[in-house]
Amino acid sequence: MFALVQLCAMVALASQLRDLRAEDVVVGTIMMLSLGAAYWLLLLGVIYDSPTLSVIKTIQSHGALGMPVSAFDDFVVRHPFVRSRVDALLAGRHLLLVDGTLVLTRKAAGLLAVGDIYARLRADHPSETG
Amino acid sequence: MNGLGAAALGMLSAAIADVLASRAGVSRVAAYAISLAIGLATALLAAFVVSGDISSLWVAIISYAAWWFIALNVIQALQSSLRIQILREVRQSGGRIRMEHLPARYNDESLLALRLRRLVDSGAVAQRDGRLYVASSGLRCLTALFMALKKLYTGHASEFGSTG
Repeated sequence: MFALVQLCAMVALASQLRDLRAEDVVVGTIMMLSLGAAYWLLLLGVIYDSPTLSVIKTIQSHGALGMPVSAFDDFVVRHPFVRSRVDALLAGRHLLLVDGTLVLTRKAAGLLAVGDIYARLRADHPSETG
Repeated sequence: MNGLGAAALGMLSAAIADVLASRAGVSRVAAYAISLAIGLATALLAAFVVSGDISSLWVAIISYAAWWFIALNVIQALQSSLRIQILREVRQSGGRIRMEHLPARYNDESLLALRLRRLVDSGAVAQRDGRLYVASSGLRCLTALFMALKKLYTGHASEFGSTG
C-alpha cells in the first residue's frame, strides 16, 4: 500500500512534467522520497512493539491496582522480543542460519561498523545501549 | 534546489552539533534537541541568504524535518535497537553463534528487566508494596498514541497477537 501511494505520487508528478522545470521535478522527487522514507520509519516503529512501551502498556492494563511484580515473568514469556527480531534479521539477510548457527553477513558487519564510527565520534558510553 | 542545499547544510550543522553536545557530556535527549534547533536555524538562514523566496524556505524546512527524522531513527537504531544488540552479540562471538547459545548472551528476561529498571530509576514507573504503577503521564499518552496507531494499521494491539 505504501509503495502504491509513492507510485501514485510519482505518476501525479510526472503528469505535470510539461508545466514544471527540470529543477522543480528533481526537488519534488527528492522531497517525496524523503517524506516517504520518514513515514516508512514511523510505520516500522508502530508495527514492531517497543519493549519499553510494552512494559508501560502491560502495567497500565492492571489499572489503579497496579501490576504485581510477580506477574513480570509471565509478561516476559508472552513477549518473545529476541525471537521476533532474530526472525526479522534472518528475513532481511543480516543474519544467515547455517546448520543451526547464526552467521553475521557482510551487510550487517558494515552496518555495525557505521554505528561504531558515529558512537566513537560522539564518545558514547557503552552502558547507554542495550 | 536552493532549499535542498539549505536543508543539506542544516543537516551537516545538526550532525556536528549532536557530536559536540554529546562529547560535552550533555544528555542524549538534550543533544538531539540542540542538534534539531541548530540544524533548523542553519537551514533557514541558508535558504534566506541564498534565495530569500518563500518556496525555498518551505522546501528547506520540510526537507530538513524529514532528513533529521530519518537521521534520528537511524542513529537511535544503530545505538540501541534490539536488532543491533543481537548483531553485536553475534559479532562478539566471532561472527557466528549457535542458535541455542544466543539466549545465554541476550534474552527477553534481561532486556525487559533492564527496561523496567530504567523506568523505575527515572521515576516513570513507581514500585510500591510489590506492585508497579505508571507514574509518567507523558509515557501514558505516548503508549496510548502508539496503541491507537498500531490498531489502525495492523488491527492488533501488539505484534505478539492478543497476548500483548
